[in-house]
Amino acid sequence: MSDLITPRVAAVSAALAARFPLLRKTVGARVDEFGPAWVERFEREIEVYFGSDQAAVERTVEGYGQFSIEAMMLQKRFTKTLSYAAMSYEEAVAEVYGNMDYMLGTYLPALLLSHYLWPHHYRQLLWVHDHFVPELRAVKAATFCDVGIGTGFYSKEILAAVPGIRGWGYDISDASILHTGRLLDRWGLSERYTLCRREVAAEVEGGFDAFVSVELLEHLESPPDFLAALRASVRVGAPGLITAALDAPNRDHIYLYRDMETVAAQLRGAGFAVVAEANFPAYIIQSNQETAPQAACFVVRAV
Amino acid sequence: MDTITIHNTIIEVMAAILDVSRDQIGDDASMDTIKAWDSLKHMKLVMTLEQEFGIEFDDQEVVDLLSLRLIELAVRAKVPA
Repeated sequence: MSDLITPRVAAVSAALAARFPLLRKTVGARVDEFGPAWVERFEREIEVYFGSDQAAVERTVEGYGQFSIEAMMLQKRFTKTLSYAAMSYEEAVAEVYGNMDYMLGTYLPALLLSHYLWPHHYRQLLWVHDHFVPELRAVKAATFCDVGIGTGFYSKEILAAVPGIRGWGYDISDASILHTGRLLDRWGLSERYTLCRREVAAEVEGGFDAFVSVELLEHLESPPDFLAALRASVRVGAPGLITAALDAPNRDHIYLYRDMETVAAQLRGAGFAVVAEANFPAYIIQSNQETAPQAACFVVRAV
Repeated sequence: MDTITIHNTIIEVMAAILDVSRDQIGDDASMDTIKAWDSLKHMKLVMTLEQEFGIEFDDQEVVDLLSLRLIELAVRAKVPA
């Protein structure tokens, strides 16, 4: 690991080890697993996002550590109950999405780092580049919407990977709007992006050419209603990336998905054909007494 | 349960979860001395110990129990002698 690791990745690793001993092997495990390409990509992400602000790195690591440890404890409980703690969408808005301190201090920084530090999130990222970005190029997509932008990470990835494409990002959280604006500014991608603090709508004539919704479905009380609204906002034939978390009892996860087929059936029911799918577990479970959070990923087409 | 039985049971569980031989688990065993002991294995270790002894660790204990010594102390405090 020491041969491969770069200065900013090393700084994240050191901050994590100092503050959260339980998580001190995380960076080394990812380096062993994904090698120099992972290090290079993560180094660049940290460089662009944080610049030379080491205090911001440490604050972000603090948020990531708290979020990850909470997720581990919730997973431990979930393994026994196989249910999420009862929370309504309104409660999630009040406790999480509308809580600027929590969103900007813990939730969004944690999610940003999780794209690299959680193995299933990093595998999802690689899969998106292999299976979804080529679809955008194949249809020469000029516009896309990202619904439930969170940190803005996937909007950034698409804007960077597809030159000339324009994006519209929808979220009901002021913190997500703010964070995504910052992220895209730092990557020099803001000029091709419009932030919308509202539900998704057919913003462009004929509907968007493509669409993205990453780990939003499990935050909703009725994913099929959302998927129907999304379908109405995109043109026929538009490729889309939809992902959902399975068996992942985060505090704001409301809708429990336990298998890929449930998600796929909802996608088909809303008017999407599944083109490709993959399931990335956070770790391999060895008995039916264990559970693992999983990233269920789908490339779809609006039909 | 006597302390020797507790110690031996913990060693058995650690060896199985961390996939190391019992000989490799010395009195100073910790996350630092056993390479395979990472956060994921730690959670499996904690859950298996809870099941084995019929006890429950609180969240702070789960985060702190990163050595054999600390695990033994916590288990002994929860298991009737």
